[in-house]
Amino acid sequence: MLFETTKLTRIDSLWQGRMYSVFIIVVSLPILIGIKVGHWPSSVLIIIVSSSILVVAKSKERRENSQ
Amino acid sequence: MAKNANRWLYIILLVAVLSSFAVIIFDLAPKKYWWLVLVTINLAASVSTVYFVKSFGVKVGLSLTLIIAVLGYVFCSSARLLPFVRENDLFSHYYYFTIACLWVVVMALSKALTQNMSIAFRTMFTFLMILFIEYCMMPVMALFEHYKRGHTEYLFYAIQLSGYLVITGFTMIF
Repeated sequence: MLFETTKLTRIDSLWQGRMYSVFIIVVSLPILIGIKVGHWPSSVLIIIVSSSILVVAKSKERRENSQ
Repeated sequence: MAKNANRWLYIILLVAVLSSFAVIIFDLAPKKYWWLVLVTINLAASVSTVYFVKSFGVKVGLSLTLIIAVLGYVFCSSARLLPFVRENDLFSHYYYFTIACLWVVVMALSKALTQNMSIAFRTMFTFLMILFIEYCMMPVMALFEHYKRGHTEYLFYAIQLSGYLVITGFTMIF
């Protein structure tokens, strides 16, 4: 998750770019707690859905920027 | 100076997140005190307040944040919407405050991540993100509440999470 987000998000001083890391922070808390508690299918599902949300958001932004 | 203050707020958020990850992963504190993790959501809410102020201006951004937070707090605390909160002490009000902060974070995220989309896709994506984040964070708060009461089984987490996932699935389908 961290590797993917470091590949996807560019580090800049814009606050819109920093909100991506805020999204990762908010989402990674239930992932870790699910793993430690022992309910690992929930954390796998959260990883899949959140990474798909990130990929869709970044792809839309890139297409808009290239135009 | 104001720029430096905002950057320091962001750095404080990152440090708090790393320390809470260390607490969770390495079992530094007993699980009764894991609700300290919820402090990171409050810090994330302050960062998203900064984002609102940057994007809308000081007056509109602060009033928008206040409206969202006060509405969430009043709605949760007066209607008793959370089924796992039984008592009326300080910790339950801290849960209500954290959920209001979570609504602020979700609104800022949905503005930041869907800024360049079309209107229809933006509405759908915002709806999906609000459902996803709220339904992922609710069982965590239920788990903390049960830890506080002395129940250390993990059954509550599984039951709450499966219930919320079933509700989310039916909402998506219909």
